[in-house]
Amino acid sequence: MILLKNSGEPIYQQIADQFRQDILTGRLKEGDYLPSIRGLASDLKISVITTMKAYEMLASEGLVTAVQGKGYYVNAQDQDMLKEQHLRKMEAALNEAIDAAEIAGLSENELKEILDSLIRLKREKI
Amino acid sequence: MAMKKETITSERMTAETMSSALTAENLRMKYKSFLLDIPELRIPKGFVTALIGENGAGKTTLLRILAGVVLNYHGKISYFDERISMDDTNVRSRIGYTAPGSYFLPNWTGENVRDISPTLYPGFDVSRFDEFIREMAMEGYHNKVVDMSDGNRMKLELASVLARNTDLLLLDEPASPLDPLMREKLCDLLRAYIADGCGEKTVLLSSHNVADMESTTDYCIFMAQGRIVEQGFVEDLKEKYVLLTGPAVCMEKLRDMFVSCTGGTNEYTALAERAKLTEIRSAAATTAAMMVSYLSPESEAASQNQVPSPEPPFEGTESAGSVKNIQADDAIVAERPTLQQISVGILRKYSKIS
Repeated sequence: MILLKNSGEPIYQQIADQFRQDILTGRLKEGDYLPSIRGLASDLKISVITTMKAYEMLASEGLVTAVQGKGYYVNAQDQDMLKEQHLRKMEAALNEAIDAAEIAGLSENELKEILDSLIRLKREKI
Repeated sequence: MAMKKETITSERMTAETMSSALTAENLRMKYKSFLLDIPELRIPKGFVTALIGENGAGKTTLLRILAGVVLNYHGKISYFDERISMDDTNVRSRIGYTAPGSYFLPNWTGENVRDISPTLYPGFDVSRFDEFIREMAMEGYHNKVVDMSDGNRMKLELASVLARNTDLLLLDEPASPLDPLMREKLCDLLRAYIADGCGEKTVLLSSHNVADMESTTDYCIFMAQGRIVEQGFVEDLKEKYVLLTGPAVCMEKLRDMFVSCTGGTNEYTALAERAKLTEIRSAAATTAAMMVSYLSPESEAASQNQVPSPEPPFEGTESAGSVKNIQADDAIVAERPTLQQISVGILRKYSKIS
């Protein structure tokens, strides 16, 4: 895990973001335990309370559950919610592409053509 | 999902609901004109707590009382969340205490400390002691304690306290005699101690080097004139307070709404409670509106009309530019404070330093 200490983004946020990513992409699976709070704090050279806050954030989003004395485990992820998350991510990326295309002076059709050929390229690779 | 959210809120940790490594009631001690007066003290178990305060605030006195070095105090102290006091023979062996100065006999050498400690402390692990001495690259190990540099003496103290089998460390200014690199090492050692304890080991330290110790500080207790003036978990304090920066003329008028503030002729920085932010912003807008009419009386009527408009048009001149800056809604910028900024803001409120 890489933490930027001077980025202005709170450390607990960065930790939560990375675990959220791992859970949503399935790298952390249902029932997996997150690393122990104090162990992770020691590994990342940050305070225990910062790690705790990150875990609490994930718990409040329903991604993990705290068990007294045992730590935090990953919840079963709602498939619809997962799909929704990916859709939102895709929309954001496409919007960015549309903005860039506008700045570059591409027409709507040119943009669509590029998207089509990119999809084709990806398919061929697979 | 909604149900899960509720259980989490109820699990939100507070000093009240978490178990304590140490509690004290009605602690009082008078020394000449100084009075230590702490109605209630709780040190959360499994965390690093920092005592922060100006010189003479009572941090060292408090630590000496808790360590059993000073006995002429009033009040009741319980250790490890049980009804046990310092008189219990078991308790002392579970507590490690260090302070700058002569904890060891002045003519002892590092070797003497190494040889005698296992007799003094049943859980003293000589090989771990050697390891800590090596890890911290302590020099002058063969010298007498009195001839050691402050930094090396502190390293010796830390090595001997960490080599014992303790559940609570009371460290008075451990970072002060250490260089920046060694302070980072100290943070590593404390985090390892806490991690090793799996929630059962606790550290209480005092420190003036708030910024250096922030990466290992979980809970803070701020002291001024013998009293506790604020306390809380660092992440909660960062939510509770907000750092404000804004034009001096405007901020000066709002002084009473801040915890404290400071600054030069141009801009002021203040610590305020986040809960008061809306109130402060609207007061700032009123102040700015008054200032506009004050600074440019000839355009008073016009500027009064312009104030509510989101982007007030301004014509050319330098002073119109600065007035415009004050008018803007974001004339006062709010930031999430660092622990150092919170500490300075709180201590300034109670300080005699002008």
